[in-house]
Parts: sequence; structure tokens; C-alpha cells
Amino acid sequence: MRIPKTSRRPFEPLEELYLGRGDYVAGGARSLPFLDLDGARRRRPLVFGIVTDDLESCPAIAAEMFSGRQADPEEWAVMWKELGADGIALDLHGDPDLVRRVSDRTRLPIVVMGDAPGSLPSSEESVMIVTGDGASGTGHAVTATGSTAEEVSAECGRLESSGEERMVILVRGFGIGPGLSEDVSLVRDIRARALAGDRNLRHPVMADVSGCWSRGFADARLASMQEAESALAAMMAGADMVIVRGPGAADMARVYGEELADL
Amino acid sequence: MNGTTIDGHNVSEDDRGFALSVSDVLPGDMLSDRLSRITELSDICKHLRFVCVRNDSMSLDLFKDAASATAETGLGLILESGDPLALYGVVSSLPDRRPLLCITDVEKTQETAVLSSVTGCPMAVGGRGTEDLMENVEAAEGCGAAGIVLCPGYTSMKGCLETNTDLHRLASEHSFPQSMHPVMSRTWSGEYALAVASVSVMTHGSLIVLDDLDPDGCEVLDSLMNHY
Repeated sequence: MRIPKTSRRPFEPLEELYLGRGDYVAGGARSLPFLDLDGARRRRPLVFGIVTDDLESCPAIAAEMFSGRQADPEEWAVMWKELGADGIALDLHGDPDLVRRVSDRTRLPIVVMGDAPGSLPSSEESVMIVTGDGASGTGHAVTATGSTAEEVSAECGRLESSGEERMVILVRGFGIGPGLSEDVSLVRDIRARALAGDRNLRHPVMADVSGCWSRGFADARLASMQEAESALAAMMAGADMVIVRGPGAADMARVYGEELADL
Repeated sequence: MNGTTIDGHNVSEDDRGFALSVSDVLPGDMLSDRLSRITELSDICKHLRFVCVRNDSMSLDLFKDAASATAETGLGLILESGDPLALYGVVSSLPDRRPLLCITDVEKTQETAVLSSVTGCPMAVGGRGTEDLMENVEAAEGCGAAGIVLCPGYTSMKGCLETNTDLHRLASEHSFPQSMHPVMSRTWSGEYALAVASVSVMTHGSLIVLDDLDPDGCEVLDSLMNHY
């Protein structure tokens, strides 16, 4: 029996982003996610764990999984490092100097969420990702968002025109539930268009899958499973980085990513 | 891509379903309890539409008893055995049902296809790799199988991703005749089985058969099938 070939040639690699002290790299895809069939790059998506300095904003069932260390954001971040996270997603509401302290304690890449902080460590020391409207990169990476690939492309183009050099495409609220198929389509579309030559979309994609913790689950196990499967869906769609709230999901996302990337 | 009707339930990429399994070695009370739990779960999880009866005992009588008890749940029936005669024995005892016939011994694909043709029951066709699978489908079609579900023999989520993508491209880009059937993933129990099932859903799988999954896992898989 003669079976048609279904493999595809690898494309030119998309943009890579070196994070932290240059020892973490995201992006650089040259195919649809993970497909050996298409010569996929063997690189696992990075997993960022959320830390916040406003414990009230964190669902209690998630915070309680950190054995009391959630009371001190620096300790919380160190615990994420002990758990094997690739980076810290710092939901910052207060003193901007916390960014430097967490960076120094963990030496992990950091995503600074929440309001744009007043001051960040020099990008020569450690490259971070800064989210938030109006955030300026000052050498760090800024995020572009949009509800369609066209919108994201236009936003990336605008940021590039204004001098930003490092960018990440951020998809918020990615999770199993209503809207999942739209989010999956968005991430897939971004990856496919980028590979097809849309240079505005060549940047790494980061999906925040932590939203399932806010859906009122009675226990942490179900929320963790939902978050882990959401992370899996995001990675399968083409996310290069995922932001999670629970340690269980972080562990599963890392293991799934390693297996899918054949590491 | 074509859909297949299994015991009165349509299965296709747009009409997904999953099954939990019961073993025919379970004593009567335990079998009843397990079937009750699966039925209760199916009230919550609308994609839990099937029960797979495994012929672990290799005894026809026990297989018949377990299948008969399972048939009373009203859920779609999937029969899994290494022996085509055992499959035939059970199907003969349930004349109003058209379960999916799963033969665990790939070497007996053609015998099962003849059985499928005679009874009007669809069958799952397995294979080691895409080429082997397509050849087995061609053989089953040649024997007049009443309906076919592809059952690739992968053992990991990576294998599921690669094989399901390969099969989907054969169907959607090449209209390769033997690939134009729903894809079934056979997996085990626990969190890794849920991950394989999830990858299958994300790569055009239509039917997932699990040995077992707890209520939380069923809820997650059902939600994924609802929204993906």
C-alpha cells in the first residue's frame, strides 16, 4: 500500500527571547507545536508560577498549597524555584523593589504583572517580561495582546514602531470552559501566520491559564486538573510559555511539555 | 471524514464520546456497583456515552454476563476481547444491540471483520503504525466490515499527537480512503490517561476508551470535549 507523505518541511525559526540572565530561552519554533513529523524543535515551553504581594487577590485554595510561605512573596518565589518552575509571574501591587529582591533570591526569569512598576532592575542584569497597558520595556520585553491574530499583529507592529525590541504575545484567560475554542484558534492562528511569514507575529506566545482558580471550585484537586489540562491545551496550540497558579499544574505542564518535545 | 454509529450512538469528530471500562472478572455485586457509578457519572458528563466490557476472564459465560448487565445501563456498548468467537457469542446474546467490536489481537482483524459484516456491528481496527493500520483497514473493508473506527496502537501522549495528526492529514489533505474513519484512543487510568485522552481530543480524536477515570477526571475530560 502506498501512503501519501503528510510531513511538512520546517520553516525559518521564529524569534527567540532570552530571559533572566540569558539562561532561559523561549520561542524559536519552526513548525506546528511538538510535531516530529514536521521537524519540530525539541524545546519545552517555559512554566511560570504566580506570586503576589496582595494575598487577598489570590484564591485561598490556591494560596494554601504553599505551606504558609505565601505570606512572604520572596519565600513564595523561592518555593516555586524549589518546585521546578522556570520563572516567576509576579503579580505586583505594592513596592516595586520586590521585583529586584525576587530576582536576586531566585535568579529566575520574571514576568511582572499588574500595574507597571515604577522601577525595574537594569535589563543588563536580567531580562524580564512586563505586562500591563502602557508598560515600557526599557530593555525588558513588553506584551502585545488582541482578540484576533490581526489585532495582535497590528499591536506588535505599533510597539515595534515605538522602539520596543523585545516582545511577547500574551493571551489572557486561556482555560478549559467557555471561550476555549476561540483561545485555541487564536494561538494556533498566531503560530500559523508567523510561520507563514507575518513578521509582526514572530514573537513568543505566553498563555495565562490561571483563571480556572477563580471559578469557585470547592477543592484544589479539580482546579489543579483543570489548570494542567488548560496548560496542555495552550502548549498544544502553540504557547511558548504558560503562567500557572498551582504547583500541581506546574509540575504536570513541565512533564507534559518534556514528553511532547521528546526531551 | 465519516462518522460511525456505535450501538445507536453516532461518533465523529463533531460528536465525541468517551467510555469507561468494566472487567468481566468483577464479581456480581462489584460489577453492579461499578456500573451504577458509571451511570451516575454519565448523568453529569454528557460525553460519557459508552461502557467498554473487557473479556479479561477469557470465559464466554462471564463475558456474556458482564455484557448483559452493562447493556441494561442504556449506555452504548463496546466489547473488547482477544477472541472473535467470544465477541460473536456476546453479540448473539444481545440481538437488539450493535456494539463496537474491539479485537485486542491485531492478527485476528479479518476474522473480526467477517463477524462485523455478519452481525452489522462496527469494529475497531488496530495497527502498529500508520501503514500497518491502513493495510488492516483495507483488509477489514475487503471483508465487508459494517463500520470502522481507527484504533492506532500508541502508548503515550507523544505517540497520540504524531499518529492522530498523521491520520487527520491523510484524511483532510489527501482524502486517503482508509483514513476516513473516526479515530479512537485506547488508554488506561489516572492522570496520565487523562493527558493522553486530552491530546487525542486536541488532535481530532472522536472516541476515547479509558480503563478508569475518577469523577474529577471525567468532569475535566467532559468539559474539554464540550469546549475544544
